[in-house]
Amino acid sequence: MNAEILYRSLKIIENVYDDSMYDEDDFYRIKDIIHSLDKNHWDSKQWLADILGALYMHSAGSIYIGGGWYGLLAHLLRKEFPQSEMNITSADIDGYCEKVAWRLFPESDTQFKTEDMMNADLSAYSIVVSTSCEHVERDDLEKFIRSKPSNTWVVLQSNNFFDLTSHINCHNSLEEFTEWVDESLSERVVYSGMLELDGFERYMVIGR
Amino acid sequence: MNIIFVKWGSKYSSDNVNELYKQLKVHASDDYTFSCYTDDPYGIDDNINIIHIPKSPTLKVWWNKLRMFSSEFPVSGKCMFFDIDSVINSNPFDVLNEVDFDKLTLINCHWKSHDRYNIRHNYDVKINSSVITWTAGNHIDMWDHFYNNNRDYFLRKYVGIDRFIVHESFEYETFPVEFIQSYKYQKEIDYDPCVITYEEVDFNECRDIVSIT
Repeated sequence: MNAEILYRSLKIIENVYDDSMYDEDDFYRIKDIIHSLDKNHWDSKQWLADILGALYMHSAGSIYIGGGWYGLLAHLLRKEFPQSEMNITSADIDGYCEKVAWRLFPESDTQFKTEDMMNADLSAYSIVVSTSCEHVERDDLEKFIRSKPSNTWVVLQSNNFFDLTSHINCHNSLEEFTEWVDESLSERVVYSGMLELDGFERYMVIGR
Repeated sequence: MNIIFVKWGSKYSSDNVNELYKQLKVHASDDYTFSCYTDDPYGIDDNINIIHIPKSPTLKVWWNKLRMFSSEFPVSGKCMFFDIDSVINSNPFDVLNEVDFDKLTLINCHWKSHDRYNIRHNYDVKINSSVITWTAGNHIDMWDHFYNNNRDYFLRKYVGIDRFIVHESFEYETFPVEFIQSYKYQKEIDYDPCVITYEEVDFNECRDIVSIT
């Protein structure tokens, strides 16, 4: 993590405390923000940016990140795609994420917005992404994939970390996840890979 | 009166449900209806009405308890919920004379007496939901708040519905302290409880070494 992002995250955490003194009381935000920047998440999202950068051979386009959380993936994708012709939108259903993301990654030239990815109009995007498939209902993910134009790329990550109650849609193996994604694609899977993390496996499938 | 159990996953078996049913049935009036809200009704006593856990939204373990407060949950009238890892020591229905069914009533964790539990920011709470009473339809705001407002954040933030209820500022009452013994926190007590709760301990292993009267 670079020092500037670390500093900004500390100042945001300071504000969470300030808010708790007289107003909103939600210290879990501190843990959540730290969690969003931890090594597992950073490595998973850097992996996505590296692979997508190698596969997507165009200098222009538009990326939609559904469930973009506090904006780390948008930041890493911007580093991978620095061209101004590449538009990046990072949406999350949680309105607090948008506020934090604007402060954490102001130079990422990303549109951070509050939106349920299930209500997003994906017709204008060349790449749609969800790295939190384990948190999303399987039927909803299928709708998300099927609602994109047929030639739009889709990048999905899930995992086999079943133990958390918020993980409602894990997969047992990369093969299982890939097969499931493939059934919803209009064309085909172009990448399928696994990243070993601390105690669990992260899976990524890219296709069209 | 609806007596409700919730069984999700494989941690507890249909035998556990049937055993609790048997312990409660001896104290119940004829007009009491027993229901089990479950994803797997196999082996559950035919006298227990099955309410199937719907496919969506997917909820794991204790979060399914919150669904009992949905407007779509198919019961009406007065309700009393028991965690499956409860053991009945004496008539648990006598307490209903003291319960206001217009309100949500849960267990008072009076054993959590340390001052830290009174700190505003303390994450842990002084109630638990091993036994709950309410009137169906009276607390749909709890489910709606969970379901319609950033559900995934609540699932990450709260380990269980007890903390959700307290920290999201829903109102509740508590049962008399003598109603419950917590096997986990109260090894010795000087009263005769109606219900023994086994929250977060290995229920089946512990029950074998506890003498139930």
